[in-house]
Amino acid sequence: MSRLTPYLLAICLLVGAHDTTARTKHVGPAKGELKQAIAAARPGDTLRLKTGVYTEGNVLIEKNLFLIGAPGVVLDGQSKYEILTIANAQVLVTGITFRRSGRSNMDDYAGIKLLDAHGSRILNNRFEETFFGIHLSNTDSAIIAGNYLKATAAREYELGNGIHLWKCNHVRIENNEITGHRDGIYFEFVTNTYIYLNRSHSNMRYGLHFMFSNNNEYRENTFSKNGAGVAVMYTTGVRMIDNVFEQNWGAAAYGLLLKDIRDSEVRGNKFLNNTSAIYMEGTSRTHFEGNTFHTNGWAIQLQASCDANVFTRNNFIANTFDMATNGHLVLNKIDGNYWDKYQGYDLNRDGLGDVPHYPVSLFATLSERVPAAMLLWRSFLVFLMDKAEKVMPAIIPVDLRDQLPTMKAHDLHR
Amino acid sequence: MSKYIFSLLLITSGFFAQACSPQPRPIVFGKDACSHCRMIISDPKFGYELVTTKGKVYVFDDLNCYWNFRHEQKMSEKQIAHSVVYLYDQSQKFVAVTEAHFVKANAVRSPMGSGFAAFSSAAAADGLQGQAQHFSWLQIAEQFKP
Repeated sequence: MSRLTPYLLAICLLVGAHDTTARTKHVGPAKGELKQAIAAARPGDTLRLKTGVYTEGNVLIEKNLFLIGAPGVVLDGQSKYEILTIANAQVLVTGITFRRSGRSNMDDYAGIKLLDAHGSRILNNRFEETFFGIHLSNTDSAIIAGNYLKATAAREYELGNGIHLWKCNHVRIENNEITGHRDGIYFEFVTNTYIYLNRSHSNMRYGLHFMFSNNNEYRENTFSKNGAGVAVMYTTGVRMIDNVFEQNWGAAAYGLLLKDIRDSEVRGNKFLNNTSAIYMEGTSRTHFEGNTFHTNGWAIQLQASCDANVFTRNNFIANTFDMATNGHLVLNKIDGNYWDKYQGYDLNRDGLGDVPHYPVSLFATLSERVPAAMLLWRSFLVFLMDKAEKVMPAIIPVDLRDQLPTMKAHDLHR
Repeated sequence: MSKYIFSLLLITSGFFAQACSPQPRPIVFGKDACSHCRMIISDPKFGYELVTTKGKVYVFDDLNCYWNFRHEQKMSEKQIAHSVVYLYDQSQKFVAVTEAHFVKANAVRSPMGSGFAAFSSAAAADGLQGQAQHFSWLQIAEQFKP
């Protein structure tokens, strides 16, 4: 040990000596000062921005830097430029307000654009009136956390996405708030990414939009009042856990739209007040457990193209329709859920109903075929038909049933 | 009075004439959902529309959705009254697919990742960065054959 000590000491000193070569520079908002400071900086330097409004046009960083804003630092894109571009570098950006980026039909102008900027961190910034907020391409292992993004525009095509990822891997997106953008969070070809505790609301299109993005997990996010809810498409291995999907109203709005999804998990989510809580098409081998469906128009619209899915321990409460489907062949397992519409009995008191529950009502089936029939909903005739159908099923898919409906709602408090 | 009836007749006959020949309608960007992938169509540089001879209108956000839908529905050329496409280079304008000039390029980020865009002419696509392949509608149909 004692023989090693001098070596260790030397290593410590060397490491320490290396650290001191990184300098900290204070930069002011005078025109050109920031760009000069970036040009003069050595990799590993820290640039501390003093309070003020910086109008530098497009700022490009191509070396490893720390960019730290004092309170009240604003980078203004004057509605003309992309504000900050980071390429081939690992950069930390924190405490800066990005305001008014340019808008363009051809280029995706952003507040911050990261290209091949592996390991960069974008922490606690504000984005006001940017076209795209944070735009990542080919960037792995980045962290996007604590940012606030807000955009406004009259027309949807004047808006970009809040947090936009294209061909990224191992990114962490945490505790951001996104509002007023086209899609709050947009993923295309993104894998192994963790999306946690974000609030995405009042975006024009989707709160979260996934395409061709495998093996991602999103947990404890809230998606509310988005134009069309959340869409997860053409993806395998998605884990959606403990999220809240609420107040997504409209003809093509879904709490959660699942299209061509395989081997995924939908667990512990709350679906409140949506036109259609889950609409699923071409979805297989996906597990739905412990979700709450409360006061939705449709809780689940299960298209016939779905197979080998499991629905268990979910609570269906106060929905207009619990389930609707467009076919007779049922290849999904729906057992052990709580349905407030269940009218059976439990003579042996094991907590499970003694007769199966048929969650698809006659009228749900009819209106699936003839949407205009919705006009007659809650009329006396429909009530009678529903009752008659319950006794002698002729139109509803009888194979679609819960064999073990619970008498009491599952306790899903966590 | 007779004048009044006559004009009424004219107006109603106008309605009927309109109802008889199916016409493409503009896509409402930000509202219409793709008939195949169900995504809300929001990028006015891309957009496809099928009108059947019976007057049913289907809209799509990308070329692969258009073709997947046609194959799924087993829709033959005879059943289609109109096929139109929005132009990449001219905002909010659509033309018959046979009149458009198609380009596939990496620089084209189409909504469903097909990489195809329609242009008013071959020259209009010159501005695209990187390599671009050019196609006519016939070649496209060949490409997307099931």
